[in-house]
Amino acid sequence: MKMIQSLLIALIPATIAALWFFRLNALILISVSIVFAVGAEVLWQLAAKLPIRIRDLSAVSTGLLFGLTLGPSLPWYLAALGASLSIVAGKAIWGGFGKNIFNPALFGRFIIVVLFPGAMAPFLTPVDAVAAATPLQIFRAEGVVTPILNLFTGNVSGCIGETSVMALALGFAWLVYKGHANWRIPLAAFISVTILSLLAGHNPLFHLFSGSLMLGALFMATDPVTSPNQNAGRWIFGAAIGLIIMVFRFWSPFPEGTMFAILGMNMLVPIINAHTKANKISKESENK
Amino acid sequence: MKRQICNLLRIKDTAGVHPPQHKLTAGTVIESAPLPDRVTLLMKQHSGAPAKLLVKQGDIVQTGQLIAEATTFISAPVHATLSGEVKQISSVVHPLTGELTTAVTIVSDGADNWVETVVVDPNGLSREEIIARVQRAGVVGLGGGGFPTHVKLQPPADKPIHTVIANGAECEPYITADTRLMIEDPERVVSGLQIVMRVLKAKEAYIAIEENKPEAIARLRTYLTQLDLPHVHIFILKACYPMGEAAVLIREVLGIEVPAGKRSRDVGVLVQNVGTLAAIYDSVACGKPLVEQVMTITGMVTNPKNLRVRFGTAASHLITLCGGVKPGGDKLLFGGPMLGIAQLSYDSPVVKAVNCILVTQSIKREERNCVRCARCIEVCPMELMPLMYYNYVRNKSYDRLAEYWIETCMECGACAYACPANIPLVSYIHIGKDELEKQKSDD
Repeated sequence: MKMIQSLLIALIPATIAALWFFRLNALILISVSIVFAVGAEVLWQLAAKLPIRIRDLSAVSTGLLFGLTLGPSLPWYLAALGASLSIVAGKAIWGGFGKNIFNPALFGRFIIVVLFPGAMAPFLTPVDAVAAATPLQIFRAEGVVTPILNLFTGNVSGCIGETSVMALALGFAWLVYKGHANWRIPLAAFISVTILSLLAGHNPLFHLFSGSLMLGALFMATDPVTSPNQNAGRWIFGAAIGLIIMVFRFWSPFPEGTMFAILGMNMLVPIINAHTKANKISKESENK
Repeated sequence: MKRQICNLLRIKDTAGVHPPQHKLTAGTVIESAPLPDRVTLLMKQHSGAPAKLLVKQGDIVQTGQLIAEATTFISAPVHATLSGEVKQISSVVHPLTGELTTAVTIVSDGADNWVETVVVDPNGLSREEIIARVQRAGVVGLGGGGFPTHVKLQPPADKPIHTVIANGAECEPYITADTRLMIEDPERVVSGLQIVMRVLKAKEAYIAIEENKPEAIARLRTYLTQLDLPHVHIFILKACYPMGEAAVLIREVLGIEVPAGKRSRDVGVLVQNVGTLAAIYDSVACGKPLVEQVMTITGMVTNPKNLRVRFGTAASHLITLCGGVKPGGDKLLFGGPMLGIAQLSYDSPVVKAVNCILVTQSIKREERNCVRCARCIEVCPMELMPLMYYNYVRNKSYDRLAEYWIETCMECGACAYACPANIPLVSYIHIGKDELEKQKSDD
């Protein structure tokens, strides 16, 4: 499908950035994730006697997105397990592509994080691969803000695909240009993150550019399958994701909450949809 | 106001779709099709009750002779479209609805002898006389609806019509019958419009044409300037499918929303296709019954043409006139690619309101899961949510369809055209509407 092709093309800059900064670690994690995601899809479809549909590239996109969310020092077999679970538990058992409630890549990552807490750590510095805290961990422990320019280019420690804001934004701009992106969702998330960080007296750019907010808001919250189908709902969905992320960053024991925010809001999508029917319909109901 | 804000936020207005136009015959002059040797006339060529048959096998009829009369108010008579002998009365599959319908086969005597028609000056006729002449001539909506025109000319007393819109949008790909009619015969269209305005005492009239038909716009503009009619305006529409649907047209031209479940007459507007207006003029001024219509024979035929075709002519006769089917053409549609009805046989007879015969290539597209991308919602001209219909029909939760105003759907097919998963949304909507109807009648 064109939509998935466009998504894959849009992820090219982020993938290049991941390979550039995290070298062999990134190469292994990304390729293992894609191979196992596609393999799991084939095996599932064979076992369930379904037509083999790997040519629609949806398994490739899930595998790639999953790979980009991983910490650079995660063992390859956990990446393999997570990628397979993304496909099987995140997508196939719901009825396949289009019927899942949760974003499959994030669902797989969630399972790995819960089953193997700490497996993503230690985070590594780019290129030299020395253990180092992520900008959000540093900020939490010492109150030091990483230079914004480093955050923008991605020259910081973190998960392999999340660090380079520049690469992610470039890819997303292309998606918007192709008309396949729900730009309202990330915009709403950015607005709520900005407002909340200003209220807390933090630099909003630091919060916007650090952690997995950019990757999550641009490429995971916008998954059409697991996001609201009306513009009004998209604003609500995005704003709530931004809110939950900031709640996690301020008060939770975790440094980061993008994954929880998106998965949690995925659950609420049917409710949001039910309350944001198309304009015409709501107009009519008002008149009654 | 809300609408303007919505439009601004949308960056670009995406409601509606833009299928490739393929107007192969836009520059082809309308010809009268040579008469076929037989016609098959259906008793139901309109919406409403079928007409009641008046002839029997062996009768000799003349062109324009009444062969079946209207039984109720919402019904229309049928006239012979050839002179000759009634050869057979049989049941045939209706080309548009698929129902078995009584049909009369007339074998031509080759002479095309007309019944006598009375030419009058329409200005001398009273409103009642005009409506009676339209009704007697069996005029129905020729844009595709087939709704009896005399019914539309008699709105309930508490719902007067203030504006008439002549629908020359012709937004569906391939079809050029209305465009050519406006270019070649603006007199009949405008005269028909004036008659309708007089009958309804309408104050304003608009002739709505899409911007991509500059020749028709220019021709009508020149003609209207000559006549100096202060209350007849030309309205240039954006080119977009389905611009020609009544509710969309009213919104674009007048800025009035037709509420869900209501019709255009409820907001005081009458929308009439330009071909119908010409037929109204013929019936009122010339006393001529409706026996023919301009159709575009197009697609994968050797010489696509605009032909004036007698009703009841077999599609195969018309396709032969256009040089036959090109290699690869294996699907016959009555209507354009968006709304057309696929035919069982090349011998299907055309009925009133068929404005296009399209030969095309059937493409099998694999239906996939809905990915909830909401393209269907974005393109829906009525701001409905087709993907919810798909969900509820698949889950057999038919009672919930009404919550999403499925009755408002006019089945233009824009959603199905836009769907990246190739879901035949219109078929799901059909099923949903039928099941909802069944549930209602069970209650």
